[in-house]
Amino acid sequence: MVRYLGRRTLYMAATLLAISLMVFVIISLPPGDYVTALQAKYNVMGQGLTEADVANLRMRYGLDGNLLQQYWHWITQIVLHGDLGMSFEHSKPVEEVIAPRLGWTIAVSLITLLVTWALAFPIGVYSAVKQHSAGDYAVTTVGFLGLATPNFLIALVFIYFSVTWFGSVPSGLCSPEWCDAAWNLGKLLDLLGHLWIPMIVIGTGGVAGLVRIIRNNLLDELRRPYVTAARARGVPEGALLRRYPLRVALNPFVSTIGWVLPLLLVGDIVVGQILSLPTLGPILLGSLKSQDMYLAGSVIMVLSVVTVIGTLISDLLLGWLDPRIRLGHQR
Amino acid sequence: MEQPSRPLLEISGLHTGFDTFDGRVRAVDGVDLEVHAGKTLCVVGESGCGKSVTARSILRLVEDSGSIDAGTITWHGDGAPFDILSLDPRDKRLQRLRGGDIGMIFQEPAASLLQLRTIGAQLIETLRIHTGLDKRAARARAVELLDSVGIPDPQRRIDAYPFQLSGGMCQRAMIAIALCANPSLLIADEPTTALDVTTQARILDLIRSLQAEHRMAVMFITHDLGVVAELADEVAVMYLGRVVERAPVDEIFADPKHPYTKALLASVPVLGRDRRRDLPTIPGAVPNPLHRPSGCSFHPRCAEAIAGKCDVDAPPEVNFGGGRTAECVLYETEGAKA
Repeated sequence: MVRYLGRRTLYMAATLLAISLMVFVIISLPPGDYVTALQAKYNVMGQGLTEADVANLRMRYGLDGNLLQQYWHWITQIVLHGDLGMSFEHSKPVEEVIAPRLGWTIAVSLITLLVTWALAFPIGVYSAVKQHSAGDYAVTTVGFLGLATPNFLIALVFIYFSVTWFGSVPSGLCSPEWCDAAWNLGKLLDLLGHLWIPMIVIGTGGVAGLVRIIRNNLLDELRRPYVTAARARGVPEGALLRRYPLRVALNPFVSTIGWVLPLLLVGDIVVGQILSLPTLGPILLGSLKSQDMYLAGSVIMVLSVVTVIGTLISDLLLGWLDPRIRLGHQR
Repeated sequence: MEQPSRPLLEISGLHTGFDTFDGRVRAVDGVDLEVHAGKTLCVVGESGCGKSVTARSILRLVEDSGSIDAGTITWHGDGAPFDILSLDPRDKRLQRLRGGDIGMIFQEPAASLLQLRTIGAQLIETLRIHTGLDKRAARARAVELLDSVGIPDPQRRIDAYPFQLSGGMCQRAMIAIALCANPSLLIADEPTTALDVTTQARILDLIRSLQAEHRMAVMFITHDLGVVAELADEVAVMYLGRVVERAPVDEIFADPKHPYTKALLASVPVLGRDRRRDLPTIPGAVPNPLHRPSGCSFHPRCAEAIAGKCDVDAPPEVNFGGGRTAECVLYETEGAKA
């Protein structure tokens, strides 16, 4: 188990390194750099920077070497000092832009993920065990619709109905009067009152996808010889389902954590924009539009880290659930 | 040949069919069989003759697309005899039968065990369902059982996962699970087919010695006539969903009655005899059960078929006495005498 964990952590570090290189290339793609952009901005404002200022800034951001040196400077700044650079658009360090929103993003994503699972698991199991029943057909049909409808469309439909019925647009995660208030029951209730909309909007596709995964896996497993064998030795049906096919069908379910988590983080970019949620999505979109590349790169980097961590978590869970993975299939 | 007065298990008029896209396949089409306490019944036949489906029908294990259409399967256990097929699926007696009074082992031992749980966990689970032992006692018993089926180092192997064991070891573990509640009948559905020849011989030896030890009946499904000669007390030959001949083992080899049985026996290679000549085979292939030949379903492949009779009328079941029957028109007159 320790070796398995060590191997996984090593892969994770290597993956992150590769991602950081990619992200850096993206940052360096547009012509010019942060300092020239800054210079231009100050020139427009009529307060040009001195040569010394420019040289100092270039030193500060490590922009005076070639691409490889720049990358080395950037990655060591991040690793050693946790310094993600400056945001051009917001005129403050990137971490100050990201930090307050990261919490919300992760909170919204995690809650959505939990609700998605809580809904998808029983529905998928029901749909597989009662295959060809009316309930199964209903679930499958609704699932297809949910999977085929883009999230932003659901968000627009929500906005349309809330404007026509309630005369207001559901936006953000808190009402204006509560946003700056300290945490108390009122704020919590207000948050819950807002949270269900992005949850439904973001969660629909996830639930539909997971239901299909669980249903298909379980249907496969229900026909395996070990199910017949377990039935032949008198294991009662309920325990049989729980202890045998469900155990196996759980594997692909667990491995979805790895890709569902980032999907929830990124997938809410458009939805976040439409519903003006205080998450990372709108920030990423804004930074890409205004070529604020340090910010964009950092957001992508953060999402990558979350993805990799999600994958590590699902790998660990898989190793715990499945002895074949844990023991490396040795004889 | 003397017969015990009351069979342990009595199958009569069993019909089991499967729904396919092309229509209903009658996999088992009127099977009558008896298994006697402490005896071994071997059911032989080619692939697709319905022998496995017959075995599965006994414990009501037919998959979803199939169902049992007609017939009775009567269990004469310690209590009052009852028809297994008319039991409610939630009936406690069915539960007790499965794994309790009747143990069952399957063709692919590794696939019949859940790979994610140790063999110990699966054995102890069954033990506790049928014996009500507590966890610790069940574990101790499980180690004994694994030892009795010849698994070396059972203290350690009890915590092994199926994928850590060989096919032969997995089948031994399956046998331990099947025997954990001291069943009166062991149904073995081609338990050695997926194993290599030496492992096969060891498993057969094991089954034979355990049978003597526990004094249980064995219903052994196989297509291997060598296995039949080694294990069987009685033999039932199946063809296309029907039992075409039943006989004690020595009689079936010495004096086969049904042309199909004769052809089957002739197609077994014998060392020395078959030099410099082709192995006799049965012409044609098993017909698609969807398009069953009229009359006797074996007549298109039968060397002794009588035109105008075998392809028209269903053959009579001829009773020769002493537990011998054959479904063939050739013995019609003899049967009338018997």
